[in-house]
Amino acid sequence: MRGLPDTLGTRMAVGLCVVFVLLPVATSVAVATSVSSARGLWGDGVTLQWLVTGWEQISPTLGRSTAVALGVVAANLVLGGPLAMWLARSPSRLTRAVSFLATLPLAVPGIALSIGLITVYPQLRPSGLLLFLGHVLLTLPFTLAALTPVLADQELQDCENAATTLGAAGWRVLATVTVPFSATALVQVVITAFALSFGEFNISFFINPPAAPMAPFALFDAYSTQRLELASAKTVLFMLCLVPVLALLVAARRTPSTRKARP
Amino acid sequence: MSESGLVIDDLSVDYDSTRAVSGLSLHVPDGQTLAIVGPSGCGKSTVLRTIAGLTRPAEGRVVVGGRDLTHVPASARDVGLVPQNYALFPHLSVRGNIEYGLKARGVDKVARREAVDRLLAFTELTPLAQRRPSQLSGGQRQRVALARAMAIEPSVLLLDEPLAALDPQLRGAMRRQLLDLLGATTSINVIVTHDRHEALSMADVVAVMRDGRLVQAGSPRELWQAPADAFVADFLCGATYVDVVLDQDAVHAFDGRWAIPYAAVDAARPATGRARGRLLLRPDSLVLSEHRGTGTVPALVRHAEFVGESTLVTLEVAGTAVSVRTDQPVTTGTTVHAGLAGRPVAHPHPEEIAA
Repeated sequence: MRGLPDTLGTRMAVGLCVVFVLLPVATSVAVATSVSSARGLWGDGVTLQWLVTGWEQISPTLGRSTAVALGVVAANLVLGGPLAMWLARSPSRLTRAVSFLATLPLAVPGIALSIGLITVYPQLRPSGLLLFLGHVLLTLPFTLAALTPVLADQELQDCENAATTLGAAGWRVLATVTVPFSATALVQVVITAFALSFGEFNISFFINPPAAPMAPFALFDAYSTQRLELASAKTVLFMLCLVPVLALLVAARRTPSTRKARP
Repeated sequence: MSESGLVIDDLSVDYDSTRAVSGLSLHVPDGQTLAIVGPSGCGKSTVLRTIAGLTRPAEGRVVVGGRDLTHVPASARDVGLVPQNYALFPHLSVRGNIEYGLKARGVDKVARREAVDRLLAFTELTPLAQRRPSQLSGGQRQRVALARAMAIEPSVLLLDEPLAALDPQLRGAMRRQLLDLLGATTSINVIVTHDRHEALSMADVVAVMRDGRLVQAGSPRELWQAPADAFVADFLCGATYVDVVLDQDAVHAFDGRWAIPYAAVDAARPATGRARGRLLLRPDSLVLSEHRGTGTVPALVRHAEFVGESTLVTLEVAGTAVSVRTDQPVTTGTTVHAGLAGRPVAHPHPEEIAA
């Protein structure tokens, strides 16, 4: 009798998704393609002019945010991977303390974190390095939460041991066993780190120099000072930048799980 | 001790402050199979991991074919490992799994394909070559793990509880198949198991461990006929050692409550006076009767378990528990009379030997 609750649950999830995600997105698209939304959706006809204008204005900002997000993803993989491995495998008592410290930024309000970073490391602000470090600080806990349990999995460690006894060097074990085994978690890390950094507002607002705003701040500015149609067009463009990342997530979820072999 | 074959010399392994294996020494000649058997936590898997190079010993050496491997990294040991859960690479096909070690060793593509084809045929996995491990049964996965380990033609093949992950119904057939496969290898095989049937049927040398120490090692028949102590007798043979006193008239067991004539027991009469000994009572050494008879001893039925072809009974005689297999119906809590079914062996008591 699992069918009924499952169906009901699915319908509720789809309904909530439609009401709180798809409807606002559709509204933004409709406003962005309306000549004048003050006369109602698609009032005075349909146009792509707001999207063209929005792209001309926001594309440098989107490029900057994308570059920072990609850098944050790389830093998460380079720093978060080994750190997660250490947390998962080391018998050291320090692992608990480090795990706690790494999670701490999530518990601190973004504003406090931003002001704290600006106060302690003002010299890093002009170069944009402080913004980058702030994003890494904020995304690293998610990376550790995704990777640490997978790397601690005894099945993975057994596979690594088997590969080692078969003559594989450490780098080969990492490349041919550890990474494929952790592929789902790694994709999750890439998507989470990218999306969090790309859409992060607090640190971007406080730390980043106003002359070179990040995409969320540019959207805030557009809604504050520009026409609703233009701000909505910029929002649509912002969301389109996340489509490739979301497509990656869907593709990863459709790929048959490689982790567990069932008896 | 000869350095040919596998030599484990005074091996000790620590996990933090706990000594998991203590002073283990074993020798397995080339081409033979060693079974390390013992209860959970006795250190047998640690020995396997140490031979594989996955665990560092605190003391002692591991030597294979005269080559001291103690400080050689696991990837350079030429040792094949079949873990208990098989540890197949889930993202690779059956062919990819078997090929893995050959790729890691830089074997060229043509030679790799030939070797893998041969092993696929040998393990009857050819039709499944493109399948993923998740699409295989337990027995098929075991064969893939074995083929993967055999592909590198290791000098030592290590199998950790090779049949434990299989359904009990499959184990008999898989044991026979595994025996055939291992018989075709030229390597030294080391099997770790807690199943005495596996140890006795698959090994040339059986080593019994308890609490990290070697209790007894020898051929299966040697251990079966003369287990070193009560633990080995119970664990490996399901038998009980009963302390006896041998005098000129009979063998006296259970504090003198049971006098067994020499005609009924395989024992040497002491030259003079009395001697202490141990009588090995196997489950089929005794017959049970409701009535007292000549040469019987009364016993309390502590536990009776009907297992189909027979009933496994635990008797208590003068405070000693003895296992008996009988085809008669027996009720827990009743008193029966036990007599000898065959001629059990009475061994000299270890303290007598020491004296």
